[in-house]
Formats: sequence, structure tokens, C-alpha cells
Amino acid sequence: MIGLLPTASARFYLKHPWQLCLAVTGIALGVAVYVGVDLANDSARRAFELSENLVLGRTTHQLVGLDGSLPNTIYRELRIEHGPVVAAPIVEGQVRLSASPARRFTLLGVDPLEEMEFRGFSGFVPGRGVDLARLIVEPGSVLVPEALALELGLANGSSLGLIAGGTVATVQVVGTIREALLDPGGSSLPIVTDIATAQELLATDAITRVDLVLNAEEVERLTALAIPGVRLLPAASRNATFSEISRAFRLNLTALSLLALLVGVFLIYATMSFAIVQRREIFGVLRALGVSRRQMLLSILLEAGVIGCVATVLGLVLGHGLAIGLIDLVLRTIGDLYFTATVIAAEPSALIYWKGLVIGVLTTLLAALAPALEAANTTPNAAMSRAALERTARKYSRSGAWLALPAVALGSLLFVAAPRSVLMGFAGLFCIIVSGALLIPLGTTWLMRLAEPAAERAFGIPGSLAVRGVAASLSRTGVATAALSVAVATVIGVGLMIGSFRASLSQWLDATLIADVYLSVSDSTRTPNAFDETQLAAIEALPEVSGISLSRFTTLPTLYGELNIRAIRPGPQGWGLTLLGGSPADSLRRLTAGEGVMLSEPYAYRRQLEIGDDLVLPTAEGDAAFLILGIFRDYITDSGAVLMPLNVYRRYWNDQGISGVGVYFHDSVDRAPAREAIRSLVAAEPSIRFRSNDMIRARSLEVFDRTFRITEVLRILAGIVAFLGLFSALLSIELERGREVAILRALGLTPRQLGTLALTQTGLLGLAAGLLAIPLGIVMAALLVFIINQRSFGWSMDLILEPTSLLVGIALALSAALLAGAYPAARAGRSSIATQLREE
Amino acid sequence: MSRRSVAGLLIILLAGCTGEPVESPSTGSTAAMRLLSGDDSAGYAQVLASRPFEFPQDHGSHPEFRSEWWYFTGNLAAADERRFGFELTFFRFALAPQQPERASAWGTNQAWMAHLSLTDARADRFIAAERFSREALGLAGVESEPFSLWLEDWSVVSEGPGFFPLRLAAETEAGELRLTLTTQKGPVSHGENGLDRKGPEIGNASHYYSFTRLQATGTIRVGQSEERVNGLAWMDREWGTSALSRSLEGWDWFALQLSDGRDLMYYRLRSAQGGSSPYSGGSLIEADGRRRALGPEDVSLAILEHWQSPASGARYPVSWELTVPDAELSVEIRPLIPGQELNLSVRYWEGAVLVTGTGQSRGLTGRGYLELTGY
Repeated sequence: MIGLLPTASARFYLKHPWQLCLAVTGIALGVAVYVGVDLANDSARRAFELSENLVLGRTTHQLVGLDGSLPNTIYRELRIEHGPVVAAPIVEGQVRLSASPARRFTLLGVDPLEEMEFRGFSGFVPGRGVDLARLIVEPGSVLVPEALALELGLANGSSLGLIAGGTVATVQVVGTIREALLDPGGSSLPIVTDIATAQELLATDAITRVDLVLNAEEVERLTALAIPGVRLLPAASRNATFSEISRAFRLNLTALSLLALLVGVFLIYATMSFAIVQRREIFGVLRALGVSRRQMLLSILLEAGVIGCVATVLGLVLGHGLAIGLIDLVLRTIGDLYFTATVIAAEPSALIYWKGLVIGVLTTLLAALAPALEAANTTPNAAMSRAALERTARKYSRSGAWLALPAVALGSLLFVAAPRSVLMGFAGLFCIIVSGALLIPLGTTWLMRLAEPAAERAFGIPGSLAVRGVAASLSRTGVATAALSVAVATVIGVGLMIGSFRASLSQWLDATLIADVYLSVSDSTRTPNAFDETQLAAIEALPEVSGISLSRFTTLPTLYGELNIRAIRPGPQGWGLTLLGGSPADSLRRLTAGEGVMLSEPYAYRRQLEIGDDLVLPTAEGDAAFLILGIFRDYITDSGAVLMPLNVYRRYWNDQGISGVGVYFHDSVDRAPAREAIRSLVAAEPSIRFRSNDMIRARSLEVFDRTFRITEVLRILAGIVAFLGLFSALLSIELERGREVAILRALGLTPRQLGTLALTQTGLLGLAAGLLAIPLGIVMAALLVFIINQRSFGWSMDLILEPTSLLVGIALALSAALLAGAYPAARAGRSSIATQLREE
Repeated sequence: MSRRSVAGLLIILLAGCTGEPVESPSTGSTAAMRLLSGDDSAGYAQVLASRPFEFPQDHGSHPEFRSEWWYFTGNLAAADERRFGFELTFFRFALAPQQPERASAWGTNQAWMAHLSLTDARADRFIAAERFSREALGLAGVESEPFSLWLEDWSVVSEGPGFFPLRLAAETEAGELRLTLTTQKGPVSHGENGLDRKGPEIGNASHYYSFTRLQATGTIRVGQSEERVNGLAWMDREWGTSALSRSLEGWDWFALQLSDGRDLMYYRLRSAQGGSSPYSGGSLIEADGRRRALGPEDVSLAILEHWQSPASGARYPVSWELTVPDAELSVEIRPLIPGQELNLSVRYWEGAVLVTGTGQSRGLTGRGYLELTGY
């Protein structure tokens, strides 16, 4: 008898390959989405850590200058007069390959003698046979990343052209560096050179910073020195903003992977439980033949286990492939958003595969458990009847709906109780999603009840039958519809969020890019003298030009990370700020009068600063307090910025430099020739970058779209999961309804009418899932916009209910439904009446 | 010449030959050592002939030679007879024979290393530390007049216009040394008027002189408590370009200050086969400063005791019997404490020793330093 059970299972799947295919695909896809996203996310997390480690090593503190550089002598004084102290000097800058100027690298100038002792080149090591003495002694010698050496065919002694600070220099490769532990594909290591060569290439006689390893007593000692123009900062703080944001970004990804898991679990549950429920009558027969309950249960679980294992392994492979694509997207997003080319791909943890395996198999078993228990516990006769099953399902759907109430309550509580926590924001979001999912079966029933009169009017009895069929078969459709709705809601919600963000960004760009042409000093924030007075006067004197604005963009080292300073002398169109709260006109008047500063929204949010507070900034003469006059919307950076009039900046920081000029044309002027006039005026100065407002606008939106590509991909994945969930649910209904169909045919319905009935039914289910997904999707979008984005990045935006996103959701659900219904519809007309009727 | 001389070279040699994979990520100071371990002597000056030393110039740098060092060791005692030992050494290495013109103030072809070790006999405590720096921006270097030698905040500086008194100052987290040294004997040139051969190859030699009996007074801190101390110190100076012959595996070097006023320097160069190189040698300096050259035939050595380092597992011969029959000298040499291994970028044993024995038929005692390399 024991041998009979596996044989029965095997025979069933051989006879119903679609069933097996569906179950395996469902499980595999569920596992794949979860594992893929998790892998990409984990890899991103490690990339962050490694990149950070690469930069920091053992560094606990950094000595930095207010103007971004330190005199050489500071290092000597530190070592000789304030020692003993573990310290390493760093000269850092950006260089580009002269052969392909788009390729940027960080040029890292180190003292190999200190460096090796200091941090052992952590994160990267010199390749075989590197002669570090040559690096020190020979001017213009560099170590290049191994990947770059391979790509360009560089060997020891090869020459390489670099563009540093606007001039081209030829350097000699004396060796390579490679990542100590990382994936050999990573190509984002710096070009390493001796500190002397770095100074020579970057044409500076200063150092960028001094990295320090300090204990508490040494921190006190060095802090007490209070060297003017120099700040001692905890190493983490230089990257504080960055870590915080990267944490938020990763949390976003984690949340997406959990969402993928949730949908995956739904999918696994739907397909597996369907495969069991389908064979109720076979189990009934087996029970009637004398199979014990225990044997029955074990047999079903064994079957589920085997399918679960095979499908999960398949899912892991699929997920791995998915991750490879996703990792690239994730890293590119991070690179776009936060820094150039220093994120390195990393091997993800093997733990994730194990987690995926356990989740896949366990979920499959759990999904099989309920129907298995049911099949094992009911009497053989009852097992063969469906009525009992449907009654139980309906009971569950009602109690499930009641559970939605506490879930909503818990979610709201989480939002309110921790008003700034991103994590709690996500927890709340999940509660809301779960409550939505719990309400779906009940919602479906209600919708069907509403639709019944209309369907009856339109299609007569078959219409009514179709509607009732949907509601009556909740045992299979309930979970699947919930999965479908959540997936579609995700598609809608994320779509709305991206749409809202993009619209807000676009609107903000219009309000901000008020000049016609922007000129900026390229490549460096530290060489502000590219603009001279005569040149500015020449621009202003052009007949097309109505005025110019001047700006100085720089950064200040603060305990809360590097703070962007934007000092501006506005042009004829004013400040171009979108102010939030307060009274904008008054704030702008006071800003112009030099009474204070304005903060970017992310900075104000993160530091919890409000209008009327004081902001303390390190100035050339020590710390000074500035009154906060307003908070402006700013999507340029989420690391925070402070805006002030140029004359205030010049007064406090003794810096007369200009890093940007905005040029305004008269309204009547033809834009294109006017731009060309400006362009030819500055063409002689290669370090000046020319951009029109249109170019900046297009480029900003392009970066935005690239940033959200990962989100788009996940959205599409959710769509695929939704499709499969629906497909399996519909097949389930249609295959189950064999006997009902036979009766209908026996009663005289034509195969064509039956096909229409089947399609109507699936269409209704899809429509129901789509309709129910709309409110859930809107709620999700609102939570993403107002809670998650705000808490993660400090950005506020307007929620825009773009009808396209909503329609896409419904269309997705409906088309998936009709597509999935086509096969059962065609099959419904062909089945043998006699066979199907004999079932009872 | 001697051992010291060799010390630098040996360091170089060891670093070059440890066989450690170059791409090992656990770099640290061993990697720094590798950096200093050039093997190519082309372009450097070579020690080919003896020459009279000229002071104070020769106290300063000889950058045309590849390597050079200033070695200070000594035995100190506090008022309560608590015994200490110290070693403070500065090494200069040329990374290339010439210094190219550089726009950057960091440009240089000279690198420096310094070692500090302190021995506290009562606490049975030994601490060792090292520093590296380049000769740029005043981070490290030497000036001969007035004499000043420094690597970051570790320094040896003349107090007045003359070479002596010298002030030594070096500090690490675990200990600190501040001494003033005055000399009781003039400088001694070793080998053939200061040319000390280390092997049969041309240029395999160094210039080598010593101050063998320096009066030391100052303070020492090992751990928390600082002590006022007095004692005898020794200074060795050596420079050259050659590397140690490949056939040698290390050396045992003795610097002893005896109670009868005589001082003895002797190094045994050990060949890979375990025997002594015929180029082993040394000097016996009489109380009045006269020198008597010692060759391997003049000195017999016997190992009395070994000590195995728990840190490195190396087994060092830390107790010896040394006899110089012609000088009627026979002494036993025992370490102040056995654990005086410097496990730094270069690993070697260098420690304070106590001497007991007979000289010219009379009982004598003494202090000294012993250096054991290649174990």
C-alpha cells in the first residue's frame, strides 16, 4: 500500500504535466524573486562596506582643512611635535584617462612607508613583484588596478596618459593593485601613487587629509591643539551622510525583497495547495482503499517536499541569474546617486542561498499541510465532495477579513509611534499590505455579489453562473487572488510613487533652472579662479543677456558629514527656490538682506532643524551661528546643503572664488544663437563647462530614470508573479469545474457558451483582483511617498495619482486573466460529459 | 665588521628571502621592510678601501652608500639596583642611488627605519617598537653639525656644539627613554682602519666605528612607572652598500663592557653549514683606548643555554662562554632576561646581558649587549 501512494502521485503528475509545471514554476519563481533581490541587496551592502573599508582602513579620525586641503607642514608638526600618533598623509584627486576621457579614476597618493604599516593597503594589495621603492623614487610612477591593466594591456613599464587638473600627463605603470578579497571583476579601485607624484600630477603643494588611528586620550590632545582652519573629525563622519543614505537605500531594497518574498510565498501556497486540492477525490479513493490518515499525510508531505526541493533548487539557480543582472543595476544606482566609481561588486553571502532553500521548501510544505490535513482527516466520502471544502474556505475568508482590522491598527501604530524610523515605516507598510491581502477574498465575494445582477442581465444564466462560480470557488481563488492583488497593488503603488517623484522633480527643475545657460568650473571644486572679472563683464555686456547670477559651491567638513555650501548672488529672476513652509516672500527678502541662511529639505529633516533655529557652521574665524530663514526643496543631493548670499559667504570664509555663473537672456531673444555666443566667449577656457538649462534638465531626468531602473525591474517581476498567480488560480477553477461543466453541457449549453462562461469567469476574477489592487496600490504609493521616501532621504514630494499607473494595473490583471482563461475555456468545451459526471 | 653592519644588511637580506608571497594581504611592516630590501647595488658607492674617519662629518649621512645605521645600546640601573636595558637604532636606506628633481616636497630617495627596545629585568618585561619614514619635509634625517638624528619624534641630538653630550629621546605607548650620553673613551675604528670586511667579494665591507664606553644618565619608563637611571651605553656606526654573502645565515654579535675597564666587540658570522666564517672578527679595547684586533682564531665560543621564543618559535642561544686566551679573558655571558626578541618587520634577538668570569687571573664582571640573527 505504501508503494501505491508515490505511484499514485507520480501517475497524477504524468497525466497532468501542466499541473506539475505550474507547481514547479510557481515555487521556483517565488524563490527566485526573493533570492535574486536579496542577493543583489547583500552584494550592494558588502560593496558599501568594502568601499568604505578601502577608503578608511583602520582610520578612526581624519584631519581635514576647512578649504579641503592641508599644508604639508601640518603633517610634519603632527608627527614630530604632537606625537606619538599613528598617521598617514593622503593626497586625493580625480583623474581621467586621456585615451577615453569619460573614464574617471580616483588618484590616491599615499606614503607607502606609512600606508603599509597603517592599514596594510586594506582592500587592495600590490600585485606580484611590485617594487614599491620605484613608486616612491620615480616621478610619475603609478600602480593601476589589475582589471585596468588587463583591459588596456598595461605591463610594468607601460605608459599611460592621464588628465589631471585639466592637463595631460604621462605616467609609468610600475605595478598593479588588486582587491584583497573581492570579486576580480571589480574595476573601481583607485590609481595608487606615491604622495609626491600625486601632488605633482594634481599640481598642488598641499595634502588632502591626514588619516589617523587615535585613542580617546590622543583625540583629546589633538582636539586641544585647535589649529586654525583645521578640523579633526571622526573618520565615520566624513562619510556619515553617505552611510546613513546608503543604509536607507539598502533598507528600501530589503523591503522590496521582503515584498518579493511575500508574493513568492503567496504564489507557492497557491500552486501547491491547488495541486493537492485537485486530487481530493483520488485521496478519497485511497482512503477508501484503506490508506491510514498518517500514511496519507506523510505521502502528501513527501510529495510536496520532493517538488519543493526540485523547484527551490531551480529557483535558486534562477535567482542567482536574476541577481547578476540586479547587482549591476544596484551598483550603478549607488554610483549614480552617491559617488563616482568607487563601489566594488562583492560576492554575496552563501547564507542567502540557504535561506532561500529553507524558505522555498518550508513554504511548500506548509502550503501542502492544510490541504493534506484536510485530505487525511476527512472521511473518504467527504474528501470526495467539494461542498465541505468550499464551506471551510468561506469561513476562513471571513475570519481572515476580521484579522485585517488589527493589522491596520498595528500598522498605523507603528507609523505614529516611531515617526522618524525608516524600519518602522516599512513594518507599518507591511502591516497595511497584509491587511489588504486579508481583505481581498471578502472583497472578491462582495464584488461578485455586486456584479451578479449586471452579469445576469448581460449574459443571462451563464453570466450569473460565472459570477457565482468565482465566489463559490474561494478555496482555490482566495489565496491566489490575494497574491494577484498584492502583486498588482505593488505594480500600481511603486509606479505611482515613481511617477509622483518624477513629476515633482520635473516641476522642481522648472522652478530651479531659471537661468538660460550655466557655466561652471569643471573637475574640481577647489580651483575657483577660472572666471575673471573681464570675462564676466564681457558676458554681461552681450546684448542678449539681461543679467547673470554668480555662485560658489563648496563643502565644509562638519561632524554630521560634508555639508554642501551654495553661496549665490541671484540674477534677474531671483533665487529660484521652492520654499516649504514659512512665508516665502518674507524669507527671501531676509535672505537677500543677509540675515541668515536657508537649508535644503533633506538636511533640515535629518538634523531636525526648523525655521528660526540657529545653524552653527565652521567659518574661517571659528564657529558662527546662522539664523535659518527657510527650508527649500532640493533634489540635487540628499546629503544636505546650506544656501546663503554670496557676500555673506565671502565675509565669513575669505573666499573670493566663483565656481558657477548663470546667464539670463532677455525674453525676446532667440535662445540658440544666444547660447552659441556665450559658448564661444568661454571656449578659450577649457576648465569652464557650458550647459544650457535644457541640457541639465534632460540629464537630471536621465539620471533619475536610471536610478529607478532597479525599482522598475522589481515592478516587472511583481507583474510576472502576478500573472503566474492568476494563471494558476484560474486553471485551478476551470479544471475543478469539470463536473459542473459537464452538467451544464448535459443541460444543453453549447461548447461555445461554455467557453464564454469560462472566459467571463476568469475575466471577472482578473477585474476583481485589479479593482481591489487599486485602493491598496494607492495606499501603498501614499505610504511610500509620505513615509518611506521622506524618512529614507528627507525628500518630500507631491502624490500624483497618474491614471496610467492605475490603468496599467487593471490591464495587467485583466489581460493576464483572459490569457490564462483561454486554455481552460477551450478545454471546457471538449471534455467528455460522461467521465466528468461519474465523479460524484 | 661587524655585526651591526650586518644588521642592516641582514635585515635587507631577510626581507628579501623570507619567501613570503608578495601578494599576501597581511602586509604591515613586513611589507615596509620588503620595500627597503633592494638587492641591486649598481650606482651606489662601495666600500673598497680604508680611510680615516673625519668627525663630525662622518657622524652624519653618507647617502651615496645604500645603507647606514646608528646603533645605541646600554645597561642601566635605578637607585634601587633595578636593572634595565635599551636599544635605540636608526637605519637609513637609499631606495635609489640618485635623487631626481621633484616639484613635490615629498620627493626623496631616502627612507628611514628606527627600532626601540626596552628591557625591565625586575618586571621581566621587554617592549619593542619600530618607525618608518621618508627623508622629506623634515620627517627624518641626520645633520652632522651640530649633530641631530631623528625619525619623527624619536631623536638623538647633541646638547652643545660638540658631539657629546648626546641626548636620546624616544617614546611609544608602552615605554619611553630619555638619556644623556657622555663618552669615556674615544672612537674606535674596527677592521682595517675602519674598513670592516664581511666576505671575500670586492665591496663586501663597511665603514665601522664605535664609542664603546658611554656614560648614560636619564630616565626610563617601561609600562607606567618612570625611573631615574644611570649606566653604560655603546654606540656603533656603520655604512656601506654590500649585502651579506648568500652563504651566511646570520651572526652572533657581542658588545661587552668589563669591570677591568676593557671593552670587547666580537661578531661571529655563521655560515649556512653551521660553521663560522673566516671573516668573523672584532676588537678588544683596553681601558686606555688602545685597540687589539680579534680574528676567529683568537676567540672561542661555546653555547651554554638556548631560549625558545613563544612568539616566533625561534630558538636562540642566549647564554655563552667566550674566551680570548691571548688576552687571558674567559667569561660567561647570560641574558638579563631571556625574552628579548624583537618580533618586528625584522625578527632578531637583541638584549642586555650580564658577564661574569676571569681576566688576567682576576675575577671580573661586566655588562653588555648580545645580538642574535638568522635564527
